[in-house]
Amino acid sequence: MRRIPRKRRGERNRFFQAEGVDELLSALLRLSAEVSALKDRVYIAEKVLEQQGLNVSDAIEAYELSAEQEAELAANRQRMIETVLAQFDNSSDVDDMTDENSKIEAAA
Amino acid sequence: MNSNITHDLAVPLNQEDKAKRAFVTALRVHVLQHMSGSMKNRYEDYVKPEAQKRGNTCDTPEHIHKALKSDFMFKAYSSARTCAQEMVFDVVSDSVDREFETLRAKAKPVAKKGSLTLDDSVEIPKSVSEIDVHLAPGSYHAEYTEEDFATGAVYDNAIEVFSFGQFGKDSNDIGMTLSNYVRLKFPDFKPAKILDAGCTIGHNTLPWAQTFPEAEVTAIDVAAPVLRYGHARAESMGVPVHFRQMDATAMKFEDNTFDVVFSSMFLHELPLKDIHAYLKEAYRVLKPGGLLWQMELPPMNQMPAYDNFYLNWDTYYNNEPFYGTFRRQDYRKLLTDAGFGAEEFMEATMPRYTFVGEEAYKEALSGENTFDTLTGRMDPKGTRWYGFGAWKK
Ligand SMILES: C[S@@+](CC[C@H](N)C(=O)[O-])C[C@H]1O[C@@H](n2cnc3c(N)ncnc32)[C@H](O)[C@@H]1O
Repeated sequence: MRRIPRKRRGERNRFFQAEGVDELLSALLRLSAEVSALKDRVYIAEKVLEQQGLNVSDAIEAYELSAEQEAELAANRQRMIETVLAQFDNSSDVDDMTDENSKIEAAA
Repeated sequence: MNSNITHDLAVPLNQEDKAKRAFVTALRVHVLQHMSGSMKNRYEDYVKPEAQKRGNTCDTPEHIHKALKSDFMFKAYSSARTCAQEMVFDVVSDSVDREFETLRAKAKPVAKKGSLTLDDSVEIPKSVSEIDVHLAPGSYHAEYTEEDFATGAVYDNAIEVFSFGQFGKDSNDIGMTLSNYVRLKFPDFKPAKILDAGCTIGHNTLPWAQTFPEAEVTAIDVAAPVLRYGHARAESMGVPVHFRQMDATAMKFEDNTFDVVFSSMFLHELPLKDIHAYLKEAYRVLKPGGLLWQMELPPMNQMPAYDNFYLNWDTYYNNEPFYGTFRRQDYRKLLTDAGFGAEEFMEATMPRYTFVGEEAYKEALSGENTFDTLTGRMDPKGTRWYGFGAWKK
């Protein structure tokens, strides 16, 4: 659950003259963090399988995802897009939190 | 990446947390070492000679800032450094949010050795409440739930990623460095009561209780969530510290209470009028014969112009609005204005105690103070802390 705001208050500094360049760099670096984490994970997964004597490359290629699994991947994808595009999104965290809070209140 | 956090409130890290923290750490090292190096070369080789042709002497940090501001390398460094700073808080907030309920159980300990005294009549100064200090969303004081401690947890995790390990185990190196400085430099001084002003989560307070086990150590801050977390953290480590919510510019302590009043990385986040008010209060609550010490950024008048420009980047771009004004002050005068004798002024640059060890540290203390690019700045090549203080006669 998101509780701590991810955006700080106030205007973000811009250093490049052309509009969007600072935001693009931010998107790029966040994307790099995601990709880097993913690569680490795949690397670890391969090592774990290797430890268990499994060579999985062929099986990966042949694998068919179930609908449920597709949905799980879709949700991950969505989260990744939101993270990467954080600087292009105007919706403030304060609003998000108000929504969250009213949902919690309603449920209680 | 293995965490240096060893206490019970350490957030359990999954592979993704570890991978992302490792990435952000690597990014910060790249920006602060590689990109900052390229920016400096660009400045020396091209920007400075060009600016001088146009009559900009480049002999003050402001002149250097003006000359560099339009250069691509400065923009790239600044933009990337801003991203890296934001990402520090992003990645650690993910894990704190996820583990919040687990942490909540640990964040309310049965106090065994120390204590926590909150006071909701303490007003949060605008310098904390109105800005997200060093781009930390929620600054120090924000609370999102009952008895919140999240800003404390975020801070603890963030400074570790932020400092790429340069603050040492449990981020306590500044506290270890200063408390051992006092122990070794003034062997006859046996403080019984010690105060830390602006303690945040107490990471640099705890070393005092360890270095001077006979002393009673008190730590104050205006922000409740960091104090809650700091108290739980201290209890989990078995270190006795009394945390109190209190404004350092208007302390509730009697005159002549403490043998040591110190702060660490506190003054530069205060407006000048609050620096004066705090130092007057520190003077008042110190016993005669007591020691004041501030670990801080080195003063502008000791550093070359380019290093001043480099350090002052934070005041322009990292939501540290008071940092530049602070560094421009004559630190001795700050203390004499508060009542300390001018001849009592001391300052020192110190190698990091927990990195160099007791013997090398002792040796370094007998040498001269050194001011260079490694003084008071986060650099992957290492760092040296700076501080100043005075005895109250
Ligand atoms: C940079 S942090 C200090 C960090 C810590 N002492 C260290 O060694 O890293 C500044 C702290 O000062 C606190 N603060 C700001 N103004 C204050 C005041 N007037 N009285 C007490 N604490 C204050 C903030 O809430 C914040 O926790």
